[in-house]
Amino acid sequence: MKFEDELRGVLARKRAPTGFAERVMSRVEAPPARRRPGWFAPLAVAASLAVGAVSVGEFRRIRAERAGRELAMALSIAADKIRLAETKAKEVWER
Amino acid sequence: MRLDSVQFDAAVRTHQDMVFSIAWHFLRDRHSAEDVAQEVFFELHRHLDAIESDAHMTNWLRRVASRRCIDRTRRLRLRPRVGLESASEPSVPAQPGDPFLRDHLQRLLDGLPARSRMAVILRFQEDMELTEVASAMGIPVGSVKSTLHRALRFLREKLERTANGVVR
Repeated sequence: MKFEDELRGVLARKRAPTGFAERVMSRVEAPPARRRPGWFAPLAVAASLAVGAVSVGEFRRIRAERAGRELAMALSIAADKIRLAETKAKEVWER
Repeated sequence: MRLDSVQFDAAVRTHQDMVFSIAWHFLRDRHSAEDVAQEVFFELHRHLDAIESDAHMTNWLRRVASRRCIDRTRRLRLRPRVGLESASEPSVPAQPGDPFLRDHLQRLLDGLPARSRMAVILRFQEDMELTEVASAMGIPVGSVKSTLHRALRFLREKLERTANGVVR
């Protein structure tokens, strides 16, 4: 027997497993899985970054406002104390 | 090509042995071969608009099947393996020949590099011309020719050494 014929014998077609076509058809006819479009992932990342950036900005703004209020209060208290000291100094001077 | 469900089912039944056999001879594992064959038909269903004729469909299936098989072995770094439980039934009657030599030839085939193995399968399972094998594998005809030449010389020499002159 020729070598090529021997090779053809070894490589003869095999029968596909029973039910193969049915399995293909059920897979083909199954409703397609809902897939996110290609632009979804980049958009989600961009949205997350934007939300993060806004949050950091807002946090810094609130902290600055609070610091400003505390400074104003401290200056107000200092001013009251200076006025009190001034009043007392005048009283001592007029005596 | 527009095919309704019944026509596509008929196309699958017509080509299932061809696609499964390419995968089976290459991967030598029944489950992997069925997996690849199913993927090939699933892809065919998604690309039906690009198919122009029955002959085009046959070539398309051979091309996609061979590429999927090679990709799979590259991805998983697989070598063909086969067990008795995964042996498939031949779709044509067995040819006369020495079972020992056939078994040995099969093992030698399994040991060929992926590209050589696929070229031999397409050439001798599907009786494809060199240009068709080149087109299916996406490589130049010259590469197919040299690949096949080297593979066949290797197989013939190894087999002759084993058979001690039984196969000429």
